[in-house]
Amino acid sequence: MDKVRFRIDGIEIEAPPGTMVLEAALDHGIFVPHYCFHRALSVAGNCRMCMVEVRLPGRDGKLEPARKPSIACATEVAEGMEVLTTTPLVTEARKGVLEFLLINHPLDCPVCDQAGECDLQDFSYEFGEAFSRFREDKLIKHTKDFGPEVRFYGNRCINCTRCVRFTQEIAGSCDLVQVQRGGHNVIDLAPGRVFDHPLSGNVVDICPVGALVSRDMLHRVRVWHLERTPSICPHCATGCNIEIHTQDEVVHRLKPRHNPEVNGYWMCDFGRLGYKHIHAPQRLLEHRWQPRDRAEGGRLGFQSVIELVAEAIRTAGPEGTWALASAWLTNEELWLFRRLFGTEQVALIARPPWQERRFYPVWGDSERNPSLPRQRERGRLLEDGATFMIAADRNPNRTGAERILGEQACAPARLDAFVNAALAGQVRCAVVLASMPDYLPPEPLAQALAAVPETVVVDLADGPLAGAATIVIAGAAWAEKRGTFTNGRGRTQRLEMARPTPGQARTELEVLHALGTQLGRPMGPCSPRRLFGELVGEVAAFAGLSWEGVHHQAPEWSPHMAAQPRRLPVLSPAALVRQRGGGAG
Amino acid sequence: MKAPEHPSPAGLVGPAQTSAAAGAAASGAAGEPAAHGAAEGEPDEEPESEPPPGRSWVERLYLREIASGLARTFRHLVLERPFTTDYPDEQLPYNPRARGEHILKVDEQGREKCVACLLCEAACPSKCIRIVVGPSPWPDRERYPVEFEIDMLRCIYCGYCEDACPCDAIELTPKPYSVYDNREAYIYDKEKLKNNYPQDWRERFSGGYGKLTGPPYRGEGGDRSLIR
Repeated sequence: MDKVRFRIDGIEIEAPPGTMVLEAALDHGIFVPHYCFHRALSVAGNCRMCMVEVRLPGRDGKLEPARKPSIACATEVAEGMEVLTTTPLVTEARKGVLEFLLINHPLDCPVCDQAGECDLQDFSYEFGEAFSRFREDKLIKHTKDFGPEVRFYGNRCINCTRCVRFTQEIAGSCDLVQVQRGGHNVIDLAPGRVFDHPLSGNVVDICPVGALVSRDMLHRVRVWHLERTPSICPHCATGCNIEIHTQDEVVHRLKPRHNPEVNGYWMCDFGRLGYKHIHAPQRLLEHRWQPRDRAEGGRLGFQSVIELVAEAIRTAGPEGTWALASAWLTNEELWLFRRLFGTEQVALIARPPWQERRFYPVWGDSERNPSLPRQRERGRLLEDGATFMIAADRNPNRTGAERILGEQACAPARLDAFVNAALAGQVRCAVVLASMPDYLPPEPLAQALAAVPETVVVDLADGPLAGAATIVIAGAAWAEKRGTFTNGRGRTQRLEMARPTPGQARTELEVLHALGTQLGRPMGPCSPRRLFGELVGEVAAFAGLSWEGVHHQAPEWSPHMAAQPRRLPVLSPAALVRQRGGGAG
Repeated sequence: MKAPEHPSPAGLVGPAQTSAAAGAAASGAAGEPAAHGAAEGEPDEEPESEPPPGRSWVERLYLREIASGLARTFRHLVLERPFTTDYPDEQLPYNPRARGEHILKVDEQGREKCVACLLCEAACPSKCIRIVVGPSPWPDRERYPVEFEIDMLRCIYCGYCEDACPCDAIELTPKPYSVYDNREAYIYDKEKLKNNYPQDWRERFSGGYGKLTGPPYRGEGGDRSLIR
């Protein structure tokens, strides 16, 4: 297909026909402020913020300026077009639009959770005025909880309808609608509905102002305190790219990170709220020895507990030792696990799949979203036209385990073999690396673990698994380790450490490395990066990957931000003086 | 002293090398102000203690000057009130706009005005403010500080918190810095901050504790009417 050649601010740009000016500008690092436009949603063109000046060539080939500025989000590019984004007319238009948007907006910034990542704040600072000429009473609109995850503040809303379009086009549930007319226009629930869709948390992300805020994080932190760590959501095999937001080593929220090939701009609410177990009060903070006869036991240091485990493994011998890995271990940990325990007397434990099938996949309404065919064309849509996919498998790394330990080792039959061997008294020592939240072992497995004389359990929290153990080692949650997960589609992605392990807890990598060293095996370095290098060399399914390559670097988590670095305003002293003068006058 | 007219060889060489020797030479030559020369040891310096020419020895006793100086001393001792105060029994008031310890202001119903926006915490250069935010128990606002602590040992009394506050909830009063014998006492909690500026302090300034209505600062000597 021929490309259209045109210019934005004097820069020559080529884009496929049908592209909007705003998209082309953002793709080429020219920032145009916008509220209602979102790349994954249809174009509404109602915020009027992305005004630009457009000049088209006339019959004689000369550029003819349009009489009025146009909105860049709904203007298609054309051959020979000249777009200007910084002219005095554009600046004046933006100021006017912002003044209108702020007419009914309350001065809520001190108590608003969006403050600090609010487009209204940013653009007012960058493009707006510091004063308002509006002297009449502001309109008061409703505040209510739309659903378990979302609270709506009508006063702060600028009616960009991103959330309405999201529920129509991506979630497909049409839960949110616009009601009333004119100045009284406000977002509301559709009659008789509750906004409890599994993707509901995403409207908080796409809301450019503080109208839709997360009830989970309501009033908890101010966003400027948050540190952001790129990571992978572990709660299903989709492997959504996320960011972990922490303050003082406490995880406060998870946000989706844009990856067009995995999760687009979205993540589901199960993943979004799936950080609570990290700070659960039942979290294991120290290692324990609790022999079956309860004759002795108590807390242990890390080295002592490793010596104890090594002694148990030596006593049991290779025939009497079984090891269970969970599908929540990283590939590096699984590789170390395989080097230590082989692939014969090992089995995989995993969380059972979702019980309620209605959660997956999510189909948007492709008739209502004209941009869906366009997204499919660019490979932004998942198969079958689904806008989002929540995998049935609630484990992040089953594929990685199957690749490293082998299909047979991960089959349920192997776990049954362990259970039978344990109940027959052939297993003298079982090592279980679980570190899964919300894991209830099935009844036969719990009985088998209780029947083994020495059961070593590495886990996150006190529970049935730790209760069946004789030696309990405090393990690390996914946010506390570095490594890679391989998602259900076979895509290997990296997660980063967002916080250190609490108390005495150690990552499974450290546990396995120390155990191997104690058993006298040559272990080599204990670095995820080096182990991944070994993995790439040894396992065919990982061949060709590199530690740097598996890290998808989306520069911005924020879905309403352009993926390109934003042009920051350069303020000269003269500009400051001009601004002051403008503000006073 | 003849050093200026006839510089000694030591004086030409320089002070760092031969200051002791030059001092000895000067004292030998000048006789009477020997102590000065030996003590200062600056060979190039003009001696200041040499009397101007044309004064008699009676004048050089300076009796009249000593008498007038002592008269002034005794006049101040007897007739004038002292300029100093008997701190800490007697304290000069600070400028009403001085920045002392904080107060957390309350509304008519005794509820703190603070909405826990954490802007003071963000503005604080010494990171001495710690706030725990919670949902407010009152219907007219959403959030309020469950805990509000200021570490007065870390505070540098810059007043940025007061500038940042959008609700006029925090204010620096002229109350000077308190003294305690343990560190814990310097961490002021919410209750202490709410009651940090007691009534007798407010009455000390005619316009209550509002800063702009307080009496102007009197400058040197202080406003004695305020000392009690």
